[in-house]
Amino acid sequence: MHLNENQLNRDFENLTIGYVEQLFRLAYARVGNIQDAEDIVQETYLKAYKSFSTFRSGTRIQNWLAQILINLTRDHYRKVSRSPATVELDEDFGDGADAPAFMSPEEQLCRDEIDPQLSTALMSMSEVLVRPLLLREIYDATYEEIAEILVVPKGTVMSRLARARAALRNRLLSNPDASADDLRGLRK
Amino acid sequence: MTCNEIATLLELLLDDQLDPDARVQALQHMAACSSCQSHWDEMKKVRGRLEEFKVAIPVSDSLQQQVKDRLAAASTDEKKEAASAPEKERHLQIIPTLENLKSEPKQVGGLSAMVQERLYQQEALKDGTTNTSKQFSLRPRTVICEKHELIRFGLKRVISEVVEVVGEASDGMMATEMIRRLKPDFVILDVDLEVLNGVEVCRRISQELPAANILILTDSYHATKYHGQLQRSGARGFCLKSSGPRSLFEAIDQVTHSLPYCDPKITQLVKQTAAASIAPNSNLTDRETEVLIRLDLRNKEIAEELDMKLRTVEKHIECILAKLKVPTRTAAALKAVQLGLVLLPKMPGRDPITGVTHEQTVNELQAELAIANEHLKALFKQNSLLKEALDDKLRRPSEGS
Repeated sequence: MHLNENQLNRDFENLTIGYVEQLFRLAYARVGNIQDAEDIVQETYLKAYKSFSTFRSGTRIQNWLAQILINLTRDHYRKVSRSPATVELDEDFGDGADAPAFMSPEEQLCRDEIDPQLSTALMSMSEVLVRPLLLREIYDATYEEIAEILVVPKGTVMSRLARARAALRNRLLSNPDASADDLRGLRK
Repeated sequence: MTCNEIATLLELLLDDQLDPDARVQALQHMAACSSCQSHWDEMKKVRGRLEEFKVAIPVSDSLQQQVKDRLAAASTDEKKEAASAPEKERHLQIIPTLENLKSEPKQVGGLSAMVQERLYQQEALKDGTTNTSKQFSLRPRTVICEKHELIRFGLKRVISEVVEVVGEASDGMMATEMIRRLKPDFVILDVDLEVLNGVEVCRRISQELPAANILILTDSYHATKYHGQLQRSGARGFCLKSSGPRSLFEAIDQVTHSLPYCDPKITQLVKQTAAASIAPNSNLTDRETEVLIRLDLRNKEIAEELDMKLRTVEKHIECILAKLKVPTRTAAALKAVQLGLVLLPKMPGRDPITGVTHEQTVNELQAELAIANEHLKALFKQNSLLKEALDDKLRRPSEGS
């Protein structure tokens, strides 16, 4: 009995492990926090493994995983909205008591590289719009795949994508900072 | 074509979903319309930014491994659940503990190995015998090492509820070999064994099987004498033969989860031995030691507690300072702590031998007095009733006659 289970475990791993990075990017873009994103990815895999028996053949596994991840992200948001905000602790922080309490300039730079303005804009957008956008841009899903993941018609996906892009442009333009110099020139 | 229609086409163009004809149309329109052209540039800029953002997301290298580990742990859990299902009732006590352990990565490793081993055992047993469900369990596999047969027999009956006894040994050599062969999770060991004593057995086991949890079950003499040695040899728990089953079960519960346990009586005895052993080294008399551990108090209080004259206390302290070669009483108290003595806290009115305060004694005496009063009242009542009855009896015959 356990041999079959081991086999199942291996099969599942081989089938799904390749999507870890993609899923992590999707989660990170939505939650903007490495720790939470990693947690969500791990939870996704656990949930997927536990309900692997309900996976219908013919569905693409990456879409199925994305669907689970999106649901978990929504749960995460619900939880976060009810609990007070937390501050991300740097991993090296625990190593020594004399570690600096502030980020070094390098770290600051590294963090700035991930476009905080865009990140904030994405996080402030409504879930309905941001989901298709992230699936398209971060997860590289096609319209059909997005339609399958979000269980909406393809036309809806297209219109939501267009609205999401317009909303994102507006946000980036209405709230520009030093890192958005290039966009500033485009305003009419 | 209007600019609005073109905007829809541009979305598709951005996603490479536009058919070639429409694509040409859109491009032609953009060449003529500057606002649509700038709109398109803007879209591409945002797309570029999203692209950069996507690439910059820091994916941890260990994430894949983490996910794999979680999956492996999940599959083990499933097996465990499946395995325990038929014997759910018997495992009800153990399963919650296992659930608690899940959060401890190290213990989960050990646990998964344990579950794995059991599953293989079950598989092996299936081939040979039919009575497998009885032999398969998650209870810790235990070896009992004890010289006396009757005690082994009784002990086995008592502890079979919580552990699975897989072997019994009557002397040290036999015990070592049996443990080497059976690799149990848990060992109950007496110190007083023949051929090899418990300390040596303990040392050998913990060298070969560091994972085995050893509980020393012995009398107070051996427990106190070998406490230090046993602890250094890897014994995890100490339990007295004189204690009841409740503390034995508590000890088993702690030690099987790799936690230390020591019977409070043993702790007390070990402390006392340490206290007694300082006297010969420092040449302090018993009376002087009694004064020494009360140095926290005023001389008058010490005199009251120990029922001696103030002058005697002063003399004792002088002797203590001389013998410990310290200048002040504070230094003497400090030295006492260094020597392993426990200073008694300030509690004036405490009985020097039992440690009971006067207040407690008064309360107890008052309670006794109240009880005695009740008794007396009852006796008086009884007495009066008897008197009445006697009077009645005396009166009746006179009436009758």
